[in-house]
Amino acid sequence: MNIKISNVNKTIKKAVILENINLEFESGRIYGLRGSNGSGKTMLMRAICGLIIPESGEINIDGDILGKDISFPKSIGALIENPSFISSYTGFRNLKLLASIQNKISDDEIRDAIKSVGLTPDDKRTFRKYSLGMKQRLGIACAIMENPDIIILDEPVNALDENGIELVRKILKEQKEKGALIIIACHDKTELEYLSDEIYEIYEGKITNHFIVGDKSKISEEIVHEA
Amino acid sequence: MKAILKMELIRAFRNKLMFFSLISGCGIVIMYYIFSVTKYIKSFYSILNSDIASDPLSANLCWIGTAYDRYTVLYFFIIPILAAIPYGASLYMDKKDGYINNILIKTDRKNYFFAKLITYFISGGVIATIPLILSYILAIISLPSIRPYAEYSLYNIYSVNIFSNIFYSNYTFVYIIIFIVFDFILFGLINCLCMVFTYWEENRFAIVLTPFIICYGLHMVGQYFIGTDKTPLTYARLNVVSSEDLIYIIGELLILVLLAIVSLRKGKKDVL
Amino acid sequence: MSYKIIKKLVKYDLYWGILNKWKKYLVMLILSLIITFVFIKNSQFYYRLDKLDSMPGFLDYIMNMFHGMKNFISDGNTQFEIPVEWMAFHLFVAFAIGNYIIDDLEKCGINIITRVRSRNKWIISKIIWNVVAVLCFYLVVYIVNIIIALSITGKLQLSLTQSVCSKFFELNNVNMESGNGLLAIIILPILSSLAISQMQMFLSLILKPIISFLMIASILILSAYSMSPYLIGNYSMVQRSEIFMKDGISILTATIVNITIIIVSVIGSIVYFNRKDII
Repeated sequence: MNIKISNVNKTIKKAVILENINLEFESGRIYGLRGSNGSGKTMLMRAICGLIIPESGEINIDGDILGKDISFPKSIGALIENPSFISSYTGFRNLKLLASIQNKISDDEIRDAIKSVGLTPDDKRTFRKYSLGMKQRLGIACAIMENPDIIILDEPVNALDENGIELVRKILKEQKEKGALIIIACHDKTELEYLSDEIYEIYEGKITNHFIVGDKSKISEEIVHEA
Repeated sequence: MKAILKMELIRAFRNKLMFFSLISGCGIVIMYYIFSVTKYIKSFYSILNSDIASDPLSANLCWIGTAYDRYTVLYFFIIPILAAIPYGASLYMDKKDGYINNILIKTDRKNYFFAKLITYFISGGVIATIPLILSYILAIISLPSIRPYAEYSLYNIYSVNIFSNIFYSNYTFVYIIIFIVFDFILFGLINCLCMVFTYWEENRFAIVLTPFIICYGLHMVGQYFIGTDKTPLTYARLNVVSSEDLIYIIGELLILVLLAIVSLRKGKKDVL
Repeated sequence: MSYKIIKKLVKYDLYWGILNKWKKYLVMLILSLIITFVFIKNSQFYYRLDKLDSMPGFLDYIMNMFHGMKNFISDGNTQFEIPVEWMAFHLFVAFAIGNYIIDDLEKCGINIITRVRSRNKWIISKIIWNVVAVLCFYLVVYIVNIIIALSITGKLQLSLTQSVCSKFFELNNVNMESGNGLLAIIILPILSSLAISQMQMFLSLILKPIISFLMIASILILSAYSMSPYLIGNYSMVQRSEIFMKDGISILTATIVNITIIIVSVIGSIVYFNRKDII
């Protein structure tokens, strides 16, 4: 799995959201996106998911151009901003409904996904009654349950306790070993460096820095502002 | 209380939807002026230039409030929706987004809900009346405000209608003010229904449409049982109200006030 | 595979958009009951006074629901009366269609679309839901009136009662022989509702659902006031059809316009949704 983003630009209501984005992602690695609020991390993730259409440039996923050859990536799991589900359904029922679209996984695999995020599959509580942390966990379970080739997680550790964060680390490691291409955004610098193999910094819609975590060597540098 | 009221009023009035509602209402008034009033103006000047004796055309004839025209019908039909669009879902959104938690820890709960209620009232009233005021201004700058006489039968205001004696006097302007103030109060109270129904509805769309649905529902009930002139969609035009309908109108307004008070009391419950 | 996914989506929309919204259909049921019972009660009153030859039948009930009003001639003095039955039905359908599509997009929409991997399939499913939802409202009205007709008259009369039409709808010389009458009473209102609903759904994608409702309500009230072929609400008003009114709305025109609106709205929805940023 390979994602190549070439010269992608996006403006919404005269505000530049993404400017001349050039990135390349490969499977089996975790890529972190870091930037201040409103820098364009979430919009970049939406663009990769096919939810927003760039004005120019292209996003190439394994040879298929998003928006031309395909509308959406063939195998993707995403948690973008707040997890949204049917409030009158339980967690399991929500995931089962979504899994029934592609019918790739069984009920047991759905249960395993729910357990892997620390929730109880047989919990009778509806989504409406979930705490913020529980909603976040369900969102992550939804993103990983079908073992997609691409996993996009926007602030995955948001609202999670220590146990939850530990589970997320474990999940991402497992998915990476399975060969998934993982892109995460996180405000917690330490956590992002712990989880990611490479980090991209975004500022005002532009990629400003690129680090390989571990040796912290800068691959390319276009410093626009002082940290 | 003043600070929270000021904040809510700014939220209500400094938003694009308020602008949209006002533009829509004023747009109807301007279309009425262009397509209907201009005909009166042409007639007025042609009569002036001719020797034909005729009933004097007056600015009071060109006001959307007292006219019978498609634009009048449209205006008074959709005004409950227009009034609710900018601020109708405000309490619902505050609760949904959790914004209400931010406010209630900073101010007395009573102040917040009371400020909300006042803002619902004022925003609804303003949206309903600004186009009426614009219509009157357009009318009086186009034609002379000649004192109306009932004998000319030009106006849709008869002796059975309330305040007709004021209309057919040298103080017609007072009638217009009463009309506008009445509509301000009526649509302000109707808009407060959005706040009442926030506690029962979980759908933003339904909450904003609640005042309109109730007005129309009452109109249907009126059509079948008590007469349509006793329903807000009709008596919003004060010129059709007769003295015997007054008791129904006062009763309905009191019910609206009561419901508004009920919504304040509901604000004492847990905010979840 | 593609057909299976659309089938799943349609099943989801039929469940969440229709079965789950059963209360709205219950309201329509109650509304139909009230309208028909008031009509029957009024008919009984006139029948006792010998102003009607016979009591109304099934088709008269349907006519009462969708007749609208005759052409209103404004003379500056006559007060305009809203055709409450016709307006109530269409407003309620507009309210029910309302914000389902946007609401669904904000809830599960993203999760579903990324799994379906096709905007077209999602929007087509919504278009199908829209059609079925509108037809279900008509079904409720028809079932209610069939039951009432069978209970009261013991039969399903498929012709209009002349005296009833004269008294209540001011229609003289009602001629149902050509079959166009049935077309005007039964098919045209349905076609018109489908057109208005598709247009409303398209507008709710572009603007906000509340603004699209406002536009539909405005079109309906203006249509009631003015008999103009540009005001599409006229096509659903049976009383203004050429069958029942001299210089009335042509059935052919009504059919062509409604179908055109449906096609334009459907294509518009698909094209627009394919370009829409889902935020």
